Order: sequence, then structure tokens, then C-alpha cells
Amino acid sequence: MVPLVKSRLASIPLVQWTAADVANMAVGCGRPALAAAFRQQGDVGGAVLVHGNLTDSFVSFAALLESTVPESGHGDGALLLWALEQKLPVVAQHLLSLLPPHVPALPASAHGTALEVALSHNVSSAVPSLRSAASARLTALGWSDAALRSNWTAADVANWLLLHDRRSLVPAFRADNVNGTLLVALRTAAAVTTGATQMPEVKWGRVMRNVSVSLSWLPE
Amino acid sequence: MAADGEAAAEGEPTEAALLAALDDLRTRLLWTVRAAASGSSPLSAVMHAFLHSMGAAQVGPTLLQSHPAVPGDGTLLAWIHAATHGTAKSALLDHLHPHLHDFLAAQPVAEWTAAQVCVRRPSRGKKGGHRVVSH
Repeated sequence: MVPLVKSRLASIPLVQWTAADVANMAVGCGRPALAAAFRQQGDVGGAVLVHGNLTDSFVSFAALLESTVPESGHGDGALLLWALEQKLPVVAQHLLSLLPPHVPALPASAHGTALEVALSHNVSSAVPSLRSAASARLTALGWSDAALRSNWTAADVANWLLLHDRRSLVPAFRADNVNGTLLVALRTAAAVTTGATQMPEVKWGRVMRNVSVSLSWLPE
Repeated sequence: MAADGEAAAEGEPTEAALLAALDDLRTRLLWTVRAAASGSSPLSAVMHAFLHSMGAAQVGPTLLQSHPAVPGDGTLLAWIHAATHGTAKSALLDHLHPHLHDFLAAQPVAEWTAAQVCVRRPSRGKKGGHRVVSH
């Protein structure tokens, strides 16, 4: 960081930083694209940083910006959460765009891929590129049973549902950790349903003795 | 997404086929039931979501009509009873019973199928016993 800039930022309280100060800080920490997002968003001064409890000092803000390597896929979870809560869509879009499509975008308390986060938080400007990235990954993973079993994570399955407008199913699929192996089971069930495969044989005499559904409202 | 049917070789699984499987009511139910029966992946949240979206009017027939995949023209409900055991069976039937009740309650008894007639209720005064409800 340029010594003169560092000297200024370290000498004044964070809450008094201007938007230019925040952008300069990002540049100084090796995040020029983030600085551009701050500038494009506009009015992201020190007060916004403090208001959202993102950070409270030059030192902690520097640590936050320098602690992550966005391209690594670990992302800026805290920074993204702050941008979403403060309704800074340009900043959020930039942070989401850095994430690989199959990793959780937010800290552990709020799972979800970048695409899911963009959809659920109405970061609509980020959606087209995130859809493309997720789609490209799934295509690269492949659709064979072997590919599904070995390559597809639960996050990939969530992205697949989102890409096909089945967002309502995502929470349940995530809760049950539906991954590629279970999608193979779905495909197998389809083969059974269409008659291509039959269910395992069972002893039907035993079935008829044991079929029992309690219907207490039935008449005598 | 990949252009299904264009890039895929003949016989190769496609995304479209998987999507169709997800949207087929019988496949949905069969998938979750088989997973629950296996005991390895209960898929309870998925089943709940499916049942909620399908409703009793669709769940009832799916369970009580003759299922093409069940040997001997059996119903899916009969297969569940035969192929599941213990807590997996209890959990599964706990999911399905309310929908089955709603479906049967909405059907005139005179129009019940044989499979519906074979649904039993516990007998009074007989510990552990069951009595067939017949009409």
C-alpha cells in the first residue's frame, strides 16, 4: 500500500472514511476489482462498514481483505453477507462472481451456492453469469451414472434444480444431502416405473397379512 | 445446459431423462420410498416436499393403484409393507398415512377398489390383531 494512503487511513477513525478511502484500502490490499465494485456501487464509506458490523478498524479491515484468496474458492463469506445485508448489489455481484459454482457462498449458518444466494437475495444482475457457470460445470461433470456418483455434490444437485426452475425443492434436497449417487437412484426408480426393471420379489401372502393402515374413522 | 438428445450417444443417460424422472409422480414416490426402505438415505425432507406438492388426490392413487413395477400387479403400498421393516417402515408409513386417509375419506366407499378395501384397521379388544374392512 502506498505509504501516504496507509498513513491517512490508519490515522483517522474508520467511520470517517470517505468512499474514496474505502476504495483505496481495497486497492492497497490487492483487491482492485473489489475497489471498482465499491466505486461503482457508490457511497460505500467508512460509516457503511461500521454500520454493518463488518469491521471497526483499519487493522481488522485490512485483515479481512487480505485473509481470503477469492480465486481459491473459499471466498469472502463475511464480506458477502455484509454486502447482502447492506443491500449493495454491485459489491455482492462482484463477490459472487468470484466463487466457483459448487461451493457454499456464505458462512456455515447460511448455506447455499452463489446462484442460490443471488436468487434468494435478488442480486439479479449476477444471475445470468452464475447460471452459465453452474451450467458449464454440470455439463463438464457429465450425466452418466458413474459421473453422477463420483462427481456430483449436493451443491451441484442444488444448482441443477435452480437451473430448471425447481427452487422450491432445494431446501429439502439440501436437508437430505441429495448428491449424485441419489440421482442415480432416481434414474433407477424411473426405469422401474416404466417397467424396464421390476421391484424385488416379495412374498405376497405375507404382504396381505401385514397390510395395515389404521383408519379409525371408518364405519363398523 | 447440454443439448440433450443432440450430444448424447444412443443409450447414454441424458439430463432430460433425469429431469423427466424428477417430475414423474410415480417415480418421485418410488424413489423416496425405496430410499426409505433401504434405510441408508431416508429422504424424509424430500418425501415431505413431494407429498406436500402432490396432495392426497395424487398420492392415494399412486399408492393404491396397481403399480407396473410391482410383481403380480401389486400396489406400491403393498410393496412398502412387504419390503420395509422396523423404524424405516414406521417412519415411511407415518409420512404416507395422512395422505392416504385424506384420499380414502374423499372417495365414496362404493367406488373403492380391491386394494382400498384391503386396507385394514386395528380390531377392538384383540391385542395386536387386525380386521379387514370389507363392504
